[in-house]
Formats: sequence, structure tokens, C-alpha cells
Amino acid sequence: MRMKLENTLRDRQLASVGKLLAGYTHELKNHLAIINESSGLMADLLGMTESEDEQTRVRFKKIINTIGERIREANGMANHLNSFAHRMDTSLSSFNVNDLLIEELALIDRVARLKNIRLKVNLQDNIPPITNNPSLFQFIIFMIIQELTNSLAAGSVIEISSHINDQIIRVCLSSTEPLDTIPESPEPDNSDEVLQFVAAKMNIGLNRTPPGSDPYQIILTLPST
Amino acid sequence: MNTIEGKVLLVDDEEKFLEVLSERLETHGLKVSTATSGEDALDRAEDQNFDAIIVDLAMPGIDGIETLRRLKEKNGDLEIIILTGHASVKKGIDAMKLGAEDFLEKPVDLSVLLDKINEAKHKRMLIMEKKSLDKVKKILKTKAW
Repeated sequence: MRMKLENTLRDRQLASVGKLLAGYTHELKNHLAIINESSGLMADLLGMTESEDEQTRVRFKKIINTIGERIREANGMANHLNSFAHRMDTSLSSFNVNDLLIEELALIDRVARLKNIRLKVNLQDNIPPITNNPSLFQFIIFMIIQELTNSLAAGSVIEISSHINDQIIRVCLSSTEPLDTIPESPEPDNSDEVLQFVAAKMNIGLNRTPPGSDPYQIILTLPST
Repeated sequence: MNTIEGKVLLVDDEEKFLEVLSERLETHGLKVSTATSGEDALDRAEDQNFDAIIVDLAMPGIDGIETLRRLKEKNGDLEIIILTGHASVKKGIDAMKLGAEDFLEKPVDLSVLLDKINEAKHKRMLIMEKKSLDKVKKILKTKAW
């Protein structure tokens, strides 16, 4: 009974985080829309104004273009964050693993970059949707990438790929360089135990190649629906 | 610069957004009215004719979907474009089912919005022309000239 209550509490806590984040990103997009229209208005007015100072006009256009580019980037980030937040709305839904990987990797990329680790993405087209827990899927990917980024040296590359074969989807996270930085044994904390627990809860497979193997891989196996 | 003639109603609870977007649309030749709530939009749509009504989805009071439903209920010929901070597939489907002309995401590319307003305006003109023609035909049928 207590366990059930704790699970409900955890689910509701996650849902509340998701709702708050989703609302917040929505507001963020409203601000971006205002900046976008203000910068657009400047461009319109600049186009209507007659000026002999061509140099200043060119400089203004360059500034307006920079504002536009940054709005597009920030909007893309807000979209990823908003979709990520909505993944917590439900514990069971139909989703495409590629969509969730793209969304999550956009959010994790900065964390990896700060450690000077590059995320290389290689996703197979036409992966069919699966029905599972979307936020747990993103959590397990986060845990694996965190484990790898903590274990690898600066300059390493983590490749994230997806494949389908015989209705089985495989998501593989691997690193080939530098090999000597892969830990000989799993992390000293209980992260592997947590990963196995989450995989079992999602009813998916989670396998690792032996430490020191080339490439070192962690593979998730998900049956398609 | 592209200019189009027409009359639009912008509905959004964010006043600063209304201010800058209406100024931009006006520089492109449009006559713009604004409403800061769904209720206000319903009142304005009753008083005036608009070629297009652009409605924000998330608003306090009656939201964009409900505003769309009530506007369409009052006048099915209104051309309504939904503009939203986050365009989810579900909301998009809901809006289209209720007769929205289009579903755009903020921040919007102005040239796309102008194209949609233009399309809405032409569609509305065609509907009006057809209605007038039907009316004339009806008169011709009933009068023994």
C-alpha cells in the first residue's frame, strides 16, 4: 500500500514538473514572439525609411538578422523543452524513439559539450512507433549518457544510433575513443542497478558489452508494437 | 514590401504582442482591431466584419478553442486562424475540426501569416459572392418578371 502511494506520489510529482515546465516554455515563446515582431517591425520601418547612409542601414540589417537567427535557435530549444515537459503527462503512450532521442539529445548536448564530449547521432529512418513510458525512456537514455560522459575523457565521442530488425528496435549508445577511459567495473554508485530496474519496469532489454571492449556499447532492445 | 488590403481582428491576452503585431500588419496595409480576451473578440465580431480573425490558443477566461467554437457558432463564414505558443497535434486537430482556417505557431513568420490572411480573405470573398448570387437567384425565382 505504502509502495503504491509512493509510486503515485512520484508520478504526480513528475506530472507537476512537466506541467510547470510546459507552461513556462509557453510563456518563453510568447516573449520570443514579441521580440520577433519587434525586430520584424524594425526591419519593415528600415525598409520604408529613405536614408543615404547605406553603411548604417547595412549594419542595422545585420543586427536584425542576428536577432532573427537567435530567435529561431531559442524557439527550437523552447520547442524541445516543451515537448520534453509534455512527455511526463502520461505514463503510457505511443511514440517514436527517434523523436524522443532528437528531443532529449538537443537538451543534453550542452552538458556533453561542457565536458568536451561529442554526441554523434545516427538514427535509422522509418522506425515504427512503440507504446511505452516516454519519460522513462528519456530517463534511461539520460542515465546512460550521464554514465558515459562521467567515465570518458575530454575529446571522446558517444554515438547514439537506432536500428530495426525483425520488429525489434535497438537503441545503441557506444564509445570507441579513448578506450582506456572506460571503467573496468560499473560505476561505484548504484546507477547500473537503477538502469536495470527501469529497463525491467519498461519491459525492455538492456545489455552492455564487457568493459574494455571495442566498441564499448550499451544496447536497449524494444519490441515494436 | 508586400501589402494587402483587408480587415483583421487580433485576439491575444498579451497586450505587447497585440501592439507590435498590429503595427507590423498595418505597415503591410491591413486594418487591424485587437481584443485581449475571447469574450471581447465575440463582442467585436458581432459589431464588425473581418476578413480574418487571428486567435491565440492560451488565454485566461474562454480559451482560443472555445472562442473559435463560439465565433463559428455565431457566424460559420468567419475565417479564423489559430496562433499558438506550442502547436500540439491534438490541439491542431481540435481547431481544424471546429473549422479553423489554419493553425500557426509563435513566433510566426510574417510572410506566412500574411499569405494565410490573404487566403482567408479570398475564401471569404468567394463565400460572400456565392451567397449574393444565391440570393439573386432566389429573388429571380420568386418574382414573376
